Amino acid sequence: MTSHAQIYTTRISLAAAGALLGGGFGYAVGHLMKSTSISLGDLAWSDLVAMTLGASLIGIGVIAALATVVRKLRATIIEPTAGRPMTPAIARFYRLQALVLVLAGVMLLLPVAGLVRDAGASVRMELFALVVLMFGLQTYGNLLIWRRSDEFLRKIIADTGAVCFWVLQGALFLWAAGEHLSILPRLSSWDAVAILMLVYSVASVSISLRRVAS
Amino acid sequence: MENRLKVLRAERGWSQADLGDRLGVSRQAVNAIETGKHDPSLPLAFRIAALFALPIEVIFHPPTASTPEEANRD
Repeated sequence: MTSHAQIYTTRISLAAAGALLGGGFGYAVGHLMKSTSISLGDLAWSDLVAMTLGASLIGIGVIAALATVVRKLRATIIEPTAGRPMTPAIARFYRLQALVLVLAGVMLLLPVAGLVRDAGASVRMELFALVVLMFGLQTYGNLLIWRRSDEFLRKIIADTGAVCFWVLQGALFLWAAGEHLSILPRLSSWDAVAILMLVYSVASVSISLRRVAS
Repeated sequence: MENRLKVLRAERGWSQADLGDRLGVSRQAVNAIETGKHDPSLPLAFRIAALFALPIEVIFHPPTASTPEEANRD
């Protein structure tokens, strides 16, 4: 297969997988909304951002995990030019990254799910305990990824962190100044997290694509 | 930083993944070094030099100067 054909096959495969997962997520959200009195319009913009990002992270994680098992998907998506099967160590590394992505996605969805379901105080406490537990697991997973990465991946992670720091600290300062002067509206910490995750996702994808793309 | 990694690798008939295995880095890292998108650390540069049994300066060199002034500066 030519490199152009490989690229088109990869794009079509990703689009199809994304459409399938997006459709499934949309159906689940619709079903959840139907069972409550809350509609999408009632949710804050940060909840919508968190839901979109959470679903995307879970989707990417599931596709990455499947690609380590399904040979054809792996050849199409992860290593189109590798020219040989994935080693068990690399497969485990991809699965670890997939797990961390899925955990991050679920952690973003759980607080919103608590609102949508109009959960009581005890349920909210359980949800928060679950978020804390998953956060601990995800942090451990991130440390493992850092330790098992080569210098190239570590550079991408560090560069993403640096870009996010400079962009977000500047934006935070300007917003805080405007808010203090009563010119800009007040942001909640959940709003700030939604912005942070959005900026981190965009920075991570763009930096990775620039470095990895041949 | 420019390098001759792709040529040296091709001379030995190795794929990027083969070279990555020998150096203890990913195929993506080898690709990024070859395409000039990543400058290897000093320890990795020494590992590359040892693998090909060549001095580092034979494999890696500063970007080719485009003007005489730039060449004199080097």
